[in-house]
Amino acid sequence: MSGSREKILSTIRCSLGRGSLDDETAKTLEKNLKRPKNRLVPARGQVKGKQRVALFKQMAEAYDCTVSEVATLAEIPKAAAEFLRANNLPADIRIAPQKDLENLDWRDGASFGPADNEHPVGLIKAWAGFAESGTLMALSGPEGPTTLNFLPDTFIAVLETKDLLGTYEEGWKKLRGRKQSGTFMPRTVNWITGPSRSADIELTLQLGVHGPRRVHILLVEE
Amino acid sequence: MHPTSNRFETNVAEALADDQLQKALARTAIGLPAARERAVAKLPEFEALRDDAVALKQHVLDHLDFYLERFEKKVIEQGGHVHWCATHQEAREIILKICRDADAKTVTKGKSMIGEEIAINDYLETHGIEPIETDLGEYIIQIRKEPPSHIVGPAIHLNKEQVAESFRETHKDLPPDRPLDDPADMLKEARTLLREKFLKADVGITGANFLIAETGSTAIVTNEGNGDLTQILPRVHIAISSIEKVVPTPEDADTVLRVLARSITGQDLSVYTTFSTGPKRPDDLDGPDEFHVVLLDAGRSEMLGSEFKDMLRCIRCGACLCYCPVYTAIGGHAYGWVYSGPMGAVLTPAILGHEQASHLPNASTFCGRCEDVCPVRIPIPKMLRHWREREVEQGRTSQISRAALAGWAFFAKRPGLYHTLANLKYSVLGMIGRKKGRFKSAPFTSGWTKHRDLPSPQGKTFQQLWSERGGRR
Repeated sequence: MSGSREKILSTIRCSLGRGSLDDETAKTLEKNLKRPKNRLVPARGQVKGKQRVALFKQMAEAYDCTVSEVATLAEIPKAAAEFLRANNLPADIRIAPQKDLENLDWRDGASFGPADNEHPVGLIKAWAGFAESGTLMALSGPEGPTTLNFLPDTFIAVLETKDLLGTYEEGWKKLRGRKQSGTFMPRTVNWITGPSRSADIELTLQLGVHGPRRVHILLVEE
Repeated sequence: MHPTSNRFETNVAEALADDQLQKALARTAIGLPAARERAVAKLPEFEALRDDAVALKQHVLDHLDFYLERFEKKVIEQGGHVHWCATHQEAREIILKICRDADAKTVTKGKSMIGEEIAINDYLETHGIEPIETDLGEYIIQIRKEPPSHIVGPAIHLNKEQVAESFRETHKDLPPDRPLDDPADMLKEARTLLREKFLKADVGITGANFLIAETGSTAIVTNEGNGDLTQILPRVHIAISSIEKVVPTPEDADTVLRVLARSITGQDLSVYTTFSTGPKRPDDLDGPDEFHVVLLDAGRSEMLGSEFKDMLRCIRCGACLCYCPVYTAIGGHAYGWVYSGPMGAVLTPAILGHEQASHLPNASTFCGRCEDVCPVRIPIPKMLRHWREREVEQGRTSQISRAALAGWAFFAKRPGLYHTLANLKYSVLGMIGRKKGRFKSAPFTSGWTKHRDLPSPQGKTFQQLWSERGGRR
């Protein structure tokens, strides 16, 4: 609909009472895209160290996640197995093919790769977390299959405290700093705040509509 | 859907007489505002964030052409496609074409008000493609063949018995005597059925809460995760959006996200916020092979130059509906199209044409709560007044109301006569109603007294009190 493109753009300009933007203004706008405007960031998330960890835990639990703390990455397989056993969940874990995770000592039944409908438990290493709202950030890519975040009934996310950030803005800053050819954006960025939920029937809150029913976070304080 | 906004008065009468609907509305009017107020109380910067969101939206609207072209350029660079559509019909046609090119038999859909606006489901169905709504609320209204009654909670008007009944009628393969008393039973049933649909679908259509100019990303906000399964499993992802959803950078989206969920469900953030940029990359393990963005205008570029420009700031949170004394009395369906409540009363005439929906702007008490709670401070009452002015200018008001106003104007221009008659009326009514203090019925007031008693005048009139206190005229 190339005719529509021109029609829409010219109606916009007519409505704004001008023609195309002059070069000067367009250049300034373009430059500003590279240096995002510093907008107001609530004080709540701007905390560091132990306070940041405490806020993250508090917020994640408020949004129906469970959180347990683990001393080192090496203890992840054991901690995940314990969580599954304690909740009577299947022991078969589908794991993101990520170096840190692949190197761990997993028991039989663990496999690596994207999820399909037959995988009851998914486990990923979150790329970041936000204390501000107890949110996990996951990226798609060769080490990050997006299906793992949504198809399994139970979702386990490993989050190293060194990757725990205060606010969303810090997440974008970290992403912009990634060494990457082309755009800094992967195909999919997921922010996840608790298990899937709906209140569509009589405003009754229910967990696990289409995505995971449970979200368990293993906080690694290395 | 065929709009019934012109039947507004009949729709309202039906809604007021519907006891089940009234119970559902009472639940909405209490539950959601309470959730919003709890969230706002916990964030001291909430008011300042609203100001920031207003400034951001104003900036975007003033440079809308620049940001849309910038967005388009980036989508193409990432290997995606952008389709500009001036009308609903153009949007329907291009979506059908993309589906046909993909040889699609079924299409899953995330929740999208633009999808409702262009009635894409009916169109695809007529052309032999099965559309499946996957948001639980949207799924429920799809099988009931109803429009959404709230932009965020589309099935907010129903009770669980009605949902159970629709499930039994639609899911005929399941045992008819299965228990469906608890919302949890229905949720489980829908999850299982829709999971199969997700896995089989050829095309996934989502809406977009944001278009990001810097990166060519689209972003959606959901609580169920259906929007994500819709876009990562099928081979083709189509994001449909109206043109005003663009923001410059991802950081700008943060500001809007901080006021969006808080304004309606009271969450700090919805469960899933997802940013999608182009199709699957060569070394990605999953994701769609094709990425299309359908950009819809349908009257918005013209609104930009009108007194309704500020309406384009709307982020579709739905707060104004839950706080509106009119919406919470009549529900969304009475408004006769996909948008309802105060925002619908402004937007529907702008999109469909004033003659299609001239009643809606009159459905307001001008109490101003919509503007008070709007996260982007849209002056909704002011814009409703603009529509009312147009209604008068274009002579669309009824003969009765014109005659009544002319009569009132006759007396209002003659203060002496007006006061004498008013005093007479109030003292007579006051005397008759002295015993009970209210009337069960009175001439010309059946619209009021059908639902509640009319209070009788108590003591003196305002004018009398004003004079006694030496007030100047």
